[in-house]
Amino acid sequence: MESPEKQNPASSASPVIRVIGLGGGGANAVARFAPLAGDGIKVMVANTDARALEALQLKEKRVLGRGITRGLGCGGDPELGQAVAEAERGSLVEMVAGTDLLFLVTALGGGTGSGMAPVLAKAATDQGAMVITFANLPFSFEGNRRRKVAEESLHLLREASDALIVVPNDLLIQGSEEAASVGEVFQLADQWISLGIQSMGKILFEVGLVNLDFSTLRRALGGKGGKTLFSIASAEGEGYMEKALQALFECPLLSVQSAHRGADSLVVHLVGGRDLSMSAVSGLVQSLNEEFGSREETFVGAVVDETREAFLEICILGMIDMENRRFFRGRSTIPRITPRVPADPGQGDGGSGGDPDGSSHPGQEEFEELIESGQRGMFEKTGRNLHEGIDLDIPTFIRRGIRIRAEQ
Amino acid sequence: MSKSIIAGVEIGTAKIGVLIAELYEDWTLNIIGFDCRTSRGIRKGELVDFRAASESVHDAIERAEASAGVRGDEVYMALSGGHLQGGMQVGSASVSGSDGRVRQEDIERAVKEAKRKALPADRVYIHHIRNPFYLDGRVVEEPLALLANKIEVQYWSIHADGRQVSDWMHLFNTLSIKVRDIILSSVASARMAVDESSRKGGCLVIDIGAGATDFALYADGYIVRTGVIPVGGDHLTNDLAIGLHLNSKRAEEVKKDLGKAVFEVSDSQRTIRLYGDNMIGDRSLPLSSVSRILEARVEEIFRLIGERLGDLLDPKYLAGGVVLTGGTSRLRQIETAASAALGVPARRADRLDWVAEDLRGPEFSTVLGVLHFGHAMNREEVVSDQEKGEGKGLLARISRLWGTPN
Repeated sequence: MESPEKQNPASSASPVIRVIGLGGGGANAVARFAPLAGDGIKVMVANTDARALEALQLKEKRVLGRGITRGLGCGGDPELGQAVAEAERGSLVEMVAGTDLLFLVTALGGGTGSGMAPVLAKAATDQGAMVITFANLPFSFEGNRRRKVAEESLHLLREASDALIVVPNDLLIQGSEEAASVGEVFQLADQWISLGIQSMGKILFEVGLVNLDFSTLRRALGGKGGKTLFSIASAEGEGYMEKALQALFECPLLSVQSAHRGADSLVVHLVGGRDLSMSAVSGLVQSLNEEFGSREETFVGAVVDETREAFLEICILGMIDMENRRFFRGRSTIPRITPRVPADPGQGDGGSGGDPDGSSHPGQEEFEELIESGQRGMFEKTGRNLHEGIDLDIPTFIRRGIRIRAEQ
Repeated sequence: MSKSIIAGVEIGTAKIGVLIAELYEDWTLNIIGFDCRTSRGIRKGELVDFRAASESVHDAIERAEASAGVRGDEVYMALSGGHLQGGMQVGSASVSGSDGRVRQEDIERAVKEAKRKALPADRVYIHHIRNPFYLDGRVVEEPLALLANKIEVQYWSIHADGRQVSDWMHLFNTLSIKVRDIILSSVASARMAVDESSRKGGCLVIDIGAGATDFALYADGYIVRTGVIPVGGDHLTNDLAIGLHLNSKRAEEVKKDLGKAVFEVSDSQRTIRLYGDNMIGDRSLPLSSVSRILEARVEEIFRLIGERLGDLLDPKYLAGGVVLTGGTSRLRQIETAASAALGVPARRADRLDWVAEDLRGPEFSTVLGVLHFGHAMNREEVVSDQEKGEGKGLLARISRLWGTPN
């Protein structure tokens, strides 16, 4: 990724961009990305687990919460993560001081990421930064508690992020090989996030046929909260345009399913070969608008890679459901994450309404609407269908990690 | 012969069914009007958009009345939804008379005690399904005048979210339609799906609709369990849409044309072609992608039912086996899937031969069942069943609790 100084020699102040990987998962993902970062991008990882950090090849590493966790990690306890966040608030503020754009990468469901990421995002937001967050959600098989912790954290992160790209681990299984191990699936997650950050960087810094700049991106993202639509894909050779478009729909980071596309604003970044023409760009943007329906504005950046031909890389970033932002009441303190105890199902059958998180409780609906991993398709806008903590609207095959081939 | 008109209404997630029938003095029933149309405003068996639902219900009733040539005087409604919960309640009484024979008041005391259990403020009883009487531990059909020390009775009582129920009533009120009574979809459907011998021998009836799956378990001719799983055919469609990257409409077509409830190894060798979502063109994929997705969901639905029933789900209590009905029971090999998941032989419900051809499909068992109950309730009012003694049906009781005019 080219550094901002190189691309904008005329500008007096280039935006300060940081990439921070927080917690075990986030740190691993960012470590993978680091070698690809240009000079102008500040990359750092932070964790409460000192040993995990030691293994990473990075210059900027920070162990947090020594006073509480003594460098041993949070052990999957988000309350401990929050405690560390409170204790280290000063360090967190200092980590993001002067940042214009923060890429925050974290894996939710455990202690450090879930407990600390919302605090870090908020600190960055408070001092005026644009925040783009990548957050992994645990596999369904990791159990309900981790899922709940992840979702509570996700809700807080959404409030403090301009764009929040959710990476559901369940969906990654779909894209991996039959015999892939969990470790390999995690690597796949890291790759996607790395690609995601690079693509964002390209949106900002690659000068080409049509340009986007920092303030345009900021405007397009429309401020904190709301849902993010994000996808990346590439293809080459015969039928490369169709293939790239198809791959765009199949990207595991695309959290909005067929029935509910419709971004309020859409950012499109294209990289093509030397045969990429303005009319092709125009046609592609039209297809994308049809699929992802930009109600307000579509911002387009397009770059030509002279060394290639019959090649297309597409990255889209959109903001949707701006009306949901009404529901965000500004919070001055981060509420404690308390694990919820499922209600006693009582004397047997008839319905699944016994769970306190169930959609039968009116007050919960607002809260629940905002927590979406984009896996519910036609039920996306309905209340959760909770049965003993499992959302039955999420496809069974996804919850069980059954790999489906969508193509021969 | 004079007659009254009754109407049965089922407001499901996918469709609204309205049946209008003439009810004669000799209790024969003659279906004279029918409408079935796409339902709107219902999701997973529950009312979510009042106006949309109200419009569809209004249209359906109007069309049915037009085809019948008469207006329905009173409507019976089927109720489903995940908010329904049930429990077994027991009541008992000592036989009071000096002759040691069971008197009517002993029966009434036992019944009263069984139905006495208080509910939280936001819940309301919909149905008390009576199970057999016990005299000193012995099952007895007709306890009156028999010798015993103690009489016991059990009821399978189902209660609902009060808000949902009053929303439904409000919907009909605004259409100026009087609801005579509300019947559980699971009960209505089960009654149509199996004959008396299956009911007496014990069986489990599962109605897999679009938005929800209703079930009812019979033992010795009594319904001992009912339930609703808020998962149905729409979930199968949605799973396919997400897994195969299709829109809902196309996914529904794939489900109907190519879907099967069981994955077989040979599926991996069979290729099917889909039409792409947009101008991209056709796509090939193995049939196994479809069957794996559907098998997972179908198995889960049955497993959830099995969990609710626990020990009651045992082939030795279910001579009638498992009987499947509802629109989604049309899915290929669904009986195989059911048998495997429940451990009890399963079959599809027989097509009813006493109705017109276009009402014989499995998706109509609920609405036909509602009509049947309307019919039966009309009879019982005259015969004066003790359970109706408190006023015109259960609905009257609900109305009194909620203060809405009947």
